[in-house]
Amino acid sequence: MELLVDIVGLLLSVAIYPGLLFLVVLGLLSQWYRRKLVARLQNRVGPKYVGPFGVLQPFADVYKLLFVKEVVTGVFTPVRLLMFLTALGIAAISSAAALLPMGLYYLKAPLDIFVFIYLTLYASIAIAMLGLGSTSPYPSFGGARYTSLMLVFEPAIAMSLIALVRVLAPGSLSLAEALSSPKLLLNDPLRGLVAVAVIAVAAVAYSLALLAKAMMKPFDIPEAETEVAGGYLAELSGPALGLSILLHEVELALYLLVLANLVVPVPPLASEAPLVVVALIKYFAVLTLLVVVAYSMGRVRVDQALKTLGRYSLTLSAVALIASFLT
Amino acid sequence: MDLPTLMLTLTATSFLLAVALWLPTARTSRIRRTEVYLSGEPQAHFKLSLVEVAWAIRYVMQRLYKTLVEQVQSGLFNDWFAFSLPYLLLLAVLLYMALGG
Repeated sequence: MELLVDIVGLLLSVAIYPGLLFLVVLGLLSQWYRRKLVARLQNRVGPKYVGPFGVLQPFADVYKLLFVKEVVTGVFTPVRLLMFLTALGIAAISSAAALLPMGLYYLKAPLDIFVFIYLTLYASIAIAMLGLGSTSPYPSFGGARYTSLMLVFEPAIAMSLIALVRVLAPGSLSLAEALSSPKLLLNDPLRGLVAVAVIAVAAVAYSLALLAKAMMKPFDIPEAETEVAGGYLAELSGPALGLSILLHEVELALYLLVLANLVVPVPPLASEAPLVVVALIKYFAVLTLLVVVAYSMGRVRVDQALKTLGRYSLTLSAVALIASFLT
Repeated sequence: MDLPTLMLTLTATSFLLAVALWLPTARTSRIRRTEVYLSGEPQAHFKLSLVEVAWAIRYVMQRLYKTLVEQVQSGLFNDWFAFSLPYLLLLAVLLYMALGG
């Protein structure tokens, strides 16, 4: 009986809340918010026609793409395999969401942060393969650029996540514990100060790496429209394009949710409705900050991106990780 | 729950969900394939011989060798140390964590 409850709980948390369905809705809402905010910054209107204030536009776009009857693709592109990899990326992100203590059922283990990092890697590999799997030069360039950036932002994200979790849940290195019952060191001002410094440095490193991972400006070279015609997305159409858009949004939503709730650990993440609302407010605050900072900059070249990420993201995350051993 | 069980459970769930997501989209869509664009040449000109692949591998390896010789194996201890320092640091952190730090 207990096993049955576990299986049903796991499936519900992976497929519905806080897994696939929740992340898709949150991701597409965030896409609308991001597009509206960027449009406002650039003196445009942004999404407008579907739903109130155009809020349903991303849903309509993805719905239309997913149910297109015909996929047009190059003769050597293994499009069904690429679609499976994209679906696997979305599924792995949804499974990683089962570690978030937001629902009635969540999974927890000592050192589960490494499982989170491992599962979210599927998404990055899927995006790289979408580019590299095509015979057209544009997606190949996009894929190659994404892969070279990946070598810097993946270790940076992993190290800053470990640093954040090490500060908030030092004994177990568990993401679920860091989110649900963070250790705040209120009785020890000196170690508390070090902890705050580690959180701040790791947050900067994580945010920069996240900009590169989500291909937002100034690191949007893998999908630069004017240079490589949309990069890894250039040769995709129909359901393959719909799935890859979903993958991008779902990945960004999960990473932002984790970032917002690790950087501002009070109040902790829990299944009660008011606390979920607070978590979402933190999420949108961090998203606003990232978008405003990102879109006030222009696109950089690959070598500049690698240098910037290496200097300000990889180094800072290494510093945060080393400093986290002092708390 | 212990770590290996958690990892296996979530990996298995991921693959199950991926198949559930992929099957409906893969079934309903028809694939129309377009020819490779070769600056106006017909696709029959698109050939790749084994010799060309071998030359490409040689070209990449040559560049790798050149980079290694010029930047790592320059005969200066400092160059080698600067190259290996990040890996040594990572190893130190991993060792520290493995020993229960």
